[in-house]
Amino acid sequence: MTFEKRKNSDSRRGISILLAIALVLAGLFVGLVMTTDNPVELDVNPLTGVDLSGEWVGTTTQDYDGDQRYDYRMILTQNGNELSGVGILDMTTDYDVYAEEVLSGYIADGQVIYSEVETLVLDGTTMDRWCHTQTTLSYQVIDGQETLVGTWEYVLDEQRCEGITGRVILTRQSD
Amino acid sequence: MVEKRKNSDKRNGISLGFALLLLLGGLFAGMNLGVSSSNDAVLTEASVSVTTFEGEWIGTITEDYGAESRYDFRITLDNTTNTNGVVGMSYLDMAQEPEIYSESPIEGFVIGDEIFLSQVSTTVLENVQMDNWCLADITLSYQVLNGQETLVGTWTNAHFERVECDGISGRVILTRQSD
Repeated sequence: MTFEKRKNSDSRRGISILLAIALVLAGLFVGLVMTTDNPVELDVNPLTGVDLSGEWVGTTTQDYDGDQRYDYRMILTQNGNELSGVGILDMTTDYDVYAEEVLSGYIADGQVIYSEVETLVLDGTTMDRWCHTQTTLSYQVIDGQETLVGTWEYVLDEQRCEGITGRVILTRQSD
Repeated sequence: MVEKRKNSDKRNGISLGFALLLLLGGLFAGMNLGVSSSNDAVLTEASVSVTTFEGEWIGTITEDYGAESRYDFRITLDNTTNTNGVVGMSYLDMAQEPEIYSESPIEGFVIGDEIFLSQVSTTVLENVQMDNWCLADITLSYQVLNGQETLVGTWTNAHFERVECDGISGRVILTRQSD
């Protein structure tokens, strides 16, 4: 009695295809691991073990209309993941606007997020021309220097303030 | 009768060679994927050139000694005919009292993602005397943080400055001025 051999009945061929797929996947995995600087560190919160409390100095910009900028100083207190403090803005360009703002915020997903919640001092302009903003910053140590770099935006519901944005760059003030 | 030799099955030999090719192909593809994904946050040194530094930069320069003053700091940079050379101007405006203001031409060069600048003279100086003023050598690293171009680094007294300026230093943090 004879029987006809079915197509693909050669088991070695099946194994070979599976093995080929496995080898490609293994190669992809090894390649990805080899070229990622430190894959484990990608998930590490850069703010772990960092106490942001203290004084930070730098610049904040208004990236609209006249592109103004301010000398920016921030005094922060960190309690767990909660932040509080004062932000001090002093315009370096055209008008001599000066403001002191109460800050309230938190740390989440490795980022610093805080809002201006109250204006303590405002010189050189009026409250109806002033907007409270929310700032999001990333912490980085660059060549041994602690930095906070990010952007601010308006997130409340006053129409006159909608769409305004800017940037923030800060370095920790030395003791 | 001819006895079949071990490994005489051609398909087996092709399969092994093919498997090796697939492994190497996967490795190559994986390495390329890895490279492209790690470039998102920070530009690689190879992609930074002298033209990267051209333009206007704004931020802060600190004096980390004495009264620990700080200045609003602005620099403009242009490429020179020299391949890695840069020239420009620096503007300092003290954030506190007294309101010291200074303008200084700067020269320097780029190596990789670092720029080395020297203030070469003082063309404007207000509210302080020249004998109380020191020019600076500045070293900055270029980084893109969350899409924002930054120059971060330090300064010391210029290498050609007088002895009284020795030991002074500070930090610099700049971001590119928007167009």
